[in-house]
Amino acid sequence: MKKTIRKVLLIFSIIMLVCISGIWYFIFYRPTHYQRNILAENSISLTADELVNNYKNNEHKSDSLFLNKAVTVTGKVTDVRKNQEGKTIIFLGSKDPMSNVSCTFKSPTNIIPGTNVILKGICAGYLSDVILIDGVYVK
Amino acid sequence: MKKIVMFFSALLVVGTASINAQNLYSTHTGQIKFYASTPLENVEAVNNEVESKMLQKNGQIIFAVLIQGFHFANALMQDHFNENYMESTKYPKADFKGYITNIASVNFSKDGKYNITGEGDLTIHGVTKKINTTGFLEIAGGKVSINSVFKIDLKDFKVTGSYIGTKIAEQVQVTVDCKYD
Repeated sequence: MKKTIRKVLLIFSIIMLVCISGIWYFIFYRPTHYQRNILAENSISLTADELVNNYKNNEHKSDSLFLNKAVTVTGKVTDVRKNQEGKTIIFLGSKDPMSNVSCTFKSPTNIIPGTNVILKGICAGYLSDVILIDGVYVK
Repeated sequence: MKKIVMFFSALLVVGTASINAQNLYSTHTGQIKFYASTPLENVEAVNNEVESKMLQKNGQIIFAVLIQGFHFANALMQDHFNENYMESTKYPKADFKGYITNIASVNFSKDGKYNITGEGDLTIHGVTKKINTTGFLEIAGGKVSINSVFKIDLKDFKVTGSYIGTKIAEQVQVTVDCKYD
């Protein structure tokens, strides 16, 4: 009789422990530590010029294709700047000098203007440039 | 032939001069933050890809921002913000189009901090509303920056959700900080 009570208590405390750690993980830990692993995500690959053209021709359709999705972009670096938070922004040129691809990097990078690169980022949409965030260097 | 070339180069020089005289200030890397925290939850986010243009001549000013570009410390909150509250696939942008009404009081050739007032149309979540705001324009070494803090009511922009009023404040404080190129 005593043994069964002990067994029940043991099982009960294990269940409690799993529940508590589950709650802690999903409510407190994961929301603040979860990050999209952009390099591992499936993405749509295209050139900077193609991406800009897509948006210029049909913004609504392009949003449905690219918005909040990982996009891999090939292009020539026309400018490298820092935003007001000190993060690096890489601009990839298109045939239209008024409209480029702007990619805000997560971490510092030593990409220099004039080089051909492949970048990956999450598409946030189109203002006068197509904007990618959380950018990473691919090649 | 020489004359034609000279005429066109003169035209080009005059053309560029007149563009400069317009004094259009612009940036692609302005910053907008918002703060909707309550004692229950810290709700704040920042966007560093704000596009803004400002004309010195008449004080005309525009800001545009992508909703997906707002960064939260809490990634789950960022997803909820986009999906449930701002519906960013349906309304990917927010913008402001208006005027700095007292632009004449700013001396662009002298460094300093000038108080400014602005009015115009603010569009968020597909709803446009007239707003008035105050702020300051700073000139330092020929560089222009604009700062403004104002409050908006979420219900004015038809932003709804179960946590508004409990975990999320009904009134959101917006901070604009744009340094022009």
